[in-house]
Amino acid sequence: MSGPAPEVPTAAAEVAVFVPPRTAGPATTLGVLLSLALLAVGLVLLHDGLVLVGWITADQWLIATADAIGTLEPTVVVAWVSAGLAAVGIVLLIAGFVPRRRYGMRVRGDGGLYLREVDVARLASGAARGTGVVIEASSTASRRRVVVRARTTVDQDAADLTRSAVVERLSVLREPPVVVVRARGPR
Amino acid sequence: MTRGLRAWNRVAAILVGLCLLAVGAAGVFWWRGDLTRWWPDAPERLDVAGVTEPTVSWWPWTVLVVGVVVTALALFWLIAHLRTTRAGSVRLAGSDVSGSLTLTTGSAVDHLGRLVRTLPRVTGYRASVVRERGRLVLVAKVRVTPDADLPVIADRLTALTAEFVSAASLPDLGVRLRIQVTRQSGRPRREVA
Repeated sequence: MSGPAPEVPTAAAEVAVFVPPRTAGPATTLGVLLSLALLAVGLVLLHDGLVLVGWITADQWLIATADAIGTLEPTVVVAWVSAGLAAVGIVLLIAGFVPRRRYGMRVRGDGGLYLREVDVARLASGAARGTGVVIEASSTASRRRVVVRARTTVDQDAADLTRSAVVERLSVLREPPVVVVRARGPR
Repeated sequence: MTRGLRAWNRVAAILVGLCLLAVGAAGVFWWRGDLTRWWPDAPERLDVAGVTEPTVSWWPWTVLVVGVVVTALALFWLIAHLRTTRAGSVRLAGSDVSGSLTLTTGSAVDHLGRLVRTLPRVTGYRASVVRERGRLVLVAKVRVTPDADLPVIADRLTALTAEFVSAASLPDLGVRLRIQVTRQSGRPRREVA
């Protein structure tokens, strides 16, 4: 890098208010789908309206659909289709009430910083690789637990060294997860 | 996406869900023969093909107008999902009839980015100021490599966001900064002690 780097302050002068991230929730996806469904209904009405007024010459879609359905009787097919509709209705009802979930793992301090689980796993792997006793590492993380699978050198203390490196790297989290190291020898 | 739209999506999902549930349940009860218990005049068969248009003069125009209105509403609803809550410029405290103080959030965020990028192991940065529940929130993502010294970076980022909050004269500004860790680049490094 060339030139002097801008000065970075090290002491927090003011406290930032953390606003936690939240998932969009299922109602958002459904909102898009329902608006598309409404758009379809609108376009059908628009088409049939234009036909009825006489501005275009075509078959009316609503009448054509009704003709295709024909006569409905309480058959097994009707029952199954009805059950399907009821099931979709229940899914929509539940989705309407599902709250937006908070996610992410907060970093200690008042900077409003957080990591997602995948970031924590990658950091854990990075810390493990930096120990000098790990040949390969991969990790999975949840809010409570990080599991590091490492292929280590023949060093007796490889697992302990790896574990303490990962613990230290993750100590910055407000609620650090439990670190589990599953170490294997070089081959 | 605004809060009002979220609420409306929920209401729509619940209303449509209730309608589908009612129609579906009615269909099942019809098949079981129980529908007459609640609706004595329930038809034994429905002649859907026999449906005809009303012959009144206003019918074609009504269908057309309803079609236009429904299509417009649906488009409005769909497009509302794309609308951002980003705050481009913010009026600051101290503004009065003699003049107003405005903060252009874009340049403030860019300046923060220049500082953030000088930190070790930082490879990317993205931020904006958005409006959420009546509050301004700095939403940012800082990308670092997996070997980053997180305690040091977190300290520096905390200091930078605090400086941003005070420099922007927005004491009520919320912050949501994700430290995103990149995937390990290339082949795994082989370090043998």
